[in-house]
Amino acid sequence: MSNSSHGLRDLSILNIISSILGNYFIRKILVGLVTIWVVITVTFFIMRLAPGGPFTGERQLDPAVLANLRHSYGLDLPLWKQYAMYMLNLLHGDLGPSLKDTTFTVKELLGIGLPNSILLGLLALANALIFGVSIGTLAALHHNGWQDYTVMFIAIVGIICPSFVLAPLLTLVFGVNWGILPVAGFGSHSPEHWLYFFSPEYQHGSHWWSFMIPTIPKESILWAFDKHLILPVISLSLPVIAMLARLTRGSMIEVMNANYIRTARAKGLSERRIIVKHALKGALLPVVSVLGPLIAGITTGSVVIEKIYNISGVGRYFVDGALNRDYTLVLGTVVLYSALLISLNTIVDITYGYIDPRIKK
Amino acid sequence: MNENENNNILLDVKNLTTTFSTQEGNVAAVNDLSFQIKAGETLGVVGESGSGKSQLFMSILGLLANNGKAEGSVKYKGKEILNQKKTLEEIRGDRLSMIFQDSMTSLNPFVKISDQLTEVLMVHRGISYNDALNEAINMLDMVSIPRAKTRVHRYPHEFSGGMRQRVMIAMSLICKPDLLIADEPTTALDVTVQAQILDIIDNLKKELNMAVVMITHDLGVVARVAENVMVMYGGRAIEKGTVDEIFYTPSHPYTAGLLASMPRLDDDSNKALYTIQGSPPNLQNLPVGCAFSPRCEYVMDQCKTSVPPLECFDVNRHRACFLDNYQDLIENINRGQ
Repeated sequence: MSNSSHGLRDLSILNIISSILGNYFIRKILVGLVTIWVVITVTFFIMRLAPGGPFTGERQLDPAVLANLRHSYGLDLPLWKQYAMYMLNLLHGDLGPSLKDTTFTVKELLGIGLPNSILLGLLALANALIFGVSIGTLAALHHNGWQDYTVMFIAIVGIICPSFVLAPLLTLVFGVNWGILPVAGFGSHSPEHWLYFFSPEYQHGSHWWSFMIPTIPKESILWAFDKHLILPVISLSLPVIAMLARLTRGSMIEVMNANYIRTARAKGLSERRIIVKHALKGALLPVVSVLGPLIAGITTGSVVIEKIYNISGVGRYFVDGALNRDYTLVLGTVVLYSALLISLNTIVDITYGYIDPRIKK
Repeated sequence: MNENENNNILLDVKNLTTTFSTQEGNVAAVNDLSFQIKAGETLGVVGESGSGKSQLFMSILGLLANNGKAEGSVKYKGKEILNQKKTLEEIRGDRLSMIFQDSMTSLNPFVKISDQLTEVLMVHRGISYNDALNEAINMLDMVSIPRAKTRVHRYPHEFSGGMRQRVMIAMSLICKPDLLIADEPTTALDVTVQAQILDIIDNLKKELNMAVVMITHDLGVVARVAENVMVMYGGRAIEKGTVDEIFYTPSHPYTAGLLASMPRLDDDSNKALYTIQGSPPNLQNLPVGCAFSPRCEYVMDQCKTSVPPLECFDVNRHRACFLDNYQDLIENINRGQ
């Protein structure tokens, strides 16, 4: 292998480049980066098209002050120059200062919001997967039985009832009428709260990405069990549970009628073994393939939920940023969201190939 | 002698009736059918689509769809197994095995061949994975899968259709069953592969001394592998006998029609192929009398009012037909053309 023309051919640069580009994962990552760039660019210009600006308020500012402000943030430069500057800074990991909340940079704000959003999202996702898949399977195994009808009734209610309707209803019942659960305020109680541990000052080193890898201290284990999270997680996950239950039920029924399940029966396997070893993998395939859109749904859903339950998460910053024309804050959240979604989608693609051997090359 | 023969009987089916409840009413797939299979026997079950031949054996093995119901009695070595869930689970895949016609979809695409093969042994014999794997490789060798040692760890989609059917055969025979039920095992395969599969089944049958039921609508396959033949129509057995008897002196107009509608290599004439007039019966609404009567050329008044019983008329020959003069059914058809 090491001698003669073979080695030469293998080493030629063109071959290396083409083999790198031919690699499935590297191609995925490149496409992902381009997608992020397109999303940022589009967002950048759409935000500028919106009427008003970060310094428009009820009280008119003095024109001189306004001009000064605009100058200090570089907003008086031509648009293409602002865009170029933003992209350059972004390459260095600099998301810029918040135009509205001047005591924080965008990075710091996201550093505060991201752990909250991730926790909310992960709990909702876990909730949805566990309950959605199991009640869907239950319904399928009792096809046309009372269990099936019950699950499907709940699922239909869950699907026609979006989270922004569900959330106020839950708030009314559990928070106001019965008064057993807090209706708002997760993650914003006191300054000594665990949030401090995620702040950039607490973290040693100040890489631009340091906010993404929070060092979780022991105290914060309790964090996940904060009862302030119960209603938000339920509201966020219930429609997803309904969707997953229907999906799982449908594919499970289909798989249980497949020829290879008949084969498994003919082999004399127990019903339990047939379901666990032969049916579940195929039945979960559609679930895995919707995981990407699902995570996107949960992430965008959490924008509404965070606003309703007043959670300082990325979603709320996104909404507030958009309403206040806080250009940098909106762009920062968009960068974060798109990077998150695209990488999660890539992970889902890889998982899919792992479950279905026919896809893996 | 009688007792000896009884001991020899592997499967004793008595008055088996299978019905499916559908939205349009009950469908009778198998009607009051009785037959026996002896150890080591090869039985060909012939009939057109919808004659109930597959559902008959699905009922016996308890593999009916949820809306299906089987009544009657099926005894395996004297032990009742019909609708006995627990007993069936124990003997299915171990003593009684079945292979299906859709070789492309009958293997689980998400599970490695090795796992699909070994689990049969591990469940029925309780042996370790490694022992089971060795046995699995042996079986794959037996059905002529090349490089079985490495292939065994592959997934089904990495095998061709013929290879998959051979894997199915290996899987169904891995416990050395007493009876293999092959439900049109070669239908989806091309002719050369078909021949290979039939050879493999033939060889293994001799090697393992097992009984084989070959369910098929291909008379060529029956002629090649079967010793005895059972012809089915409308969920009933209408004729039984040895393969030679059935092929040379069919005693039922339907059997004769089937044989006459086979193209012959030694026939030079350009005559149109014989066809049985009409279409298969609607199982939801079987004729009152003989199910074949609406299509029968020899139909008599009696046929339209009562079902002819399956009667023994010669040594081990059975027919269900009121027609007395059956000797030259084939000649009549040939002359008619």
